[in-house]
Amino acid sequence: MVYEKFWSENPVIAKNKTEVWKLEKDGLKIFDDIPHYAANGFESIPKEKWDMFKWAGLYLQRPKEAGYWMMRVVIPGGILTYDQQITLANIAKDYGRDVYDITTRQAIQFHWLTIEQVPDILNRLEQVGMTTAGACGDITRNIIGNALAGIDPGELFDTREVLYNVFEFFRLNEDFSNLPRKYKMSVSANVHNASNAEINCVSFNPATKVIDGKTEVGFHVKVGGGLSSVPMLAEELDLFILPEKTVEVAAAITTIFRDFGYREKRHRSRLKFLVADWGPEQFKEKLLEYTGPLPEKGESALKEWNAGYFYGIHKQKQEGLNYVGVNIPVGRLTPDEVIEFAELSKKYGNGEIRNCNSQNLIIPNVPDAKLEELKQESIFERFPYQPKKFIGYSVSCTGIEYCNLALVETKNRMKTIAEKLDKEIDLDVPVRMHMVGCPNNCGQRAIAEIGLQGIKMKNQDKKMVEAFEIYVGGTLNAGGKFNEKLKGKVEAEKLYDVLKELILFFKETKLLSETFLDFVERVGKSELQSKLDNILTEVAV
Amino acid sequence: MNLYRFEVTIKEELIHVIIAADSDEKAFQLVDIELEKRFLKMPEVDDISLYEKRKINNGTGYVLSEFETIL
Repeated sequence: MVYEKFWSENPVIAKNKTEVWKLEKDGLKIFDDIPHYAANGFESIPKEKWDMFKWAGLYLQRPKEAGYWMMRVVIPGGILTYDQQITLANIAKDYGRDVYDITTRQAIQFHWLTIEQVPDILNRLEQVGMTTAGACGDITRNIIGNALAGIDPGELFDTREVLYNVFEFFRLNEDFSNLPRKYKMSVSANVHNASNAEINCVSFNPATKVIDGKTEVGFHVKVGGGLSSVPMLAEELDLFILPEKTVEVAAAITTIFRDFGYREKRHRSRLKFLVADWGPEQFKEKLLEYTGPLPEKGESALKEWNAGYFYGIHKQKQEGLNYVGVNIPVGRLTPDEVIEFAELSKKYGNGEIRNCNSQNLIIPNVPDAKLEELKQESIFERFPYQPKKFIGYSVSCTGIEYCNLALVETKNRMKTIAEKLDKEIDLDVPVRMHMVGCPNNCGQRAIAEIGLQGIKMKNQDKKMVEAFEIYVGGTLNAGGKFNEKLKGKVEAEKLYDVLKELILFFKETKLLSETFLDFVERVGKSELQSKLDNILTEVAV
Repeated sequence: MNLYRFEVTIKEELIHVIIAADSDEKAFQLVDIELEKRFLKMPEVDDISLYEKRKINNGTGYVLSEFETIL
């Protein structure tokens, strides 16, 4: 289909250099140029073309001038075959300095790649049916799904086919590869909102509706969510979508974003800004112009939020089969560990692995008869399926190690702190902690029970040090609520001591089975602030 | 080159300081220099915090509508 880029006539667009080059050449065309640049080296890539590589899933690591790339690989719904796992592991081993990261969108990332290596990497990925197209750039990003799709005893229905249809529709589709900005979608019928519906641009969420006397399963739709520096929770449209209508509705919403989304300023281009201006009613009316009549909302099937965690050994909906939810601390593995999991999934399951948006993974399809033997595997000593209460629920962005925007180190720090807390404090509930290295929220700080955001400051000795501010009380339960900042700045080297004291206060004051979120709501922010003030006086001096 | 956004606390009052520099360390040094330029008598600085940095391009800037530091 050929569509008219009518915004090209808008003189204001000429001031946005990204929009100008997007009109001159579609971002996906960068794939055609990669062989040339690979043959001629990083120096042959004009600086003004660097951004275009995002459409091929490639970002320059810090410092950009050094010419090392981060590559993100699309994994729709997080489901990986055995061959795909081996291919990914070998890429990380051969080219990526043994770094393999699971992302908060169920994708994976490599680091330290050079442009010369990219053609071989893309070729290897293609051979196992994988792509990097759409992993980054102003395009539909990796589509989040229920990591348990098809095996989830509680799911409203199996969403794998719907999700793949949506993915295939948008994949390399140049009708939708020039969007105003990044565009994040989820398709899930997990009743515990495992896909984090409220922080996606568009989310399809489980619902039922009685139509012509028959209860139909399908989706409710939320639009306009997103974190970054201006976080916003998605709003629900008064619509019910049958599964077979999902691609059509997704296409219509994306068309609205493409044609009515704001392109003048990149910092106001996400769908959330259009939704904030229009409101859900106007958005729905525009959507119906494209789709024709759709039923109004039915009954939401969503229950309590699980934040994408599936730890432990559980029965699948299939008789005699089980899945094992495993903790991967802050999502980082070595290639050898990836291969170990792949071999395990082949030996005990069907070779499949599922990535979770909590940066963990699931080994599905393990028969009852093999469970006991699987549980004895030594890999679970390093990556437990019953993780401790802190390391099992810690999330981190990439941080200063690779990111151009980060002010502080995050990934290893989060892991170290969580592991130390697990050694020192025994709790009856997990505590969800997210650490980010700047205000852009890639590690989803805003929805954490304890959010840690990095800054740099001068300490008492007038030395520049890394530090953190603490936020409390974030959730996506019941529509969601972002966490709130407490007063006080904590030097990074004292962060563990401060968190330990704060969590000990929680432990000593909490009710049985009370979560940190419920605790914050019960005692109030001022009580926590008062405690933090004391801690900062005693510990941080 | 980056554009840095700082908040400085002086006698229970907050001020924004924006600095262009090629490293975090240099940016902190330049905050001191800018403060020295601003005040005839250099006040006691309670806190200097770096909240954000952005690559400098045409149009890089910040809106300074509110403070992040809670006093």
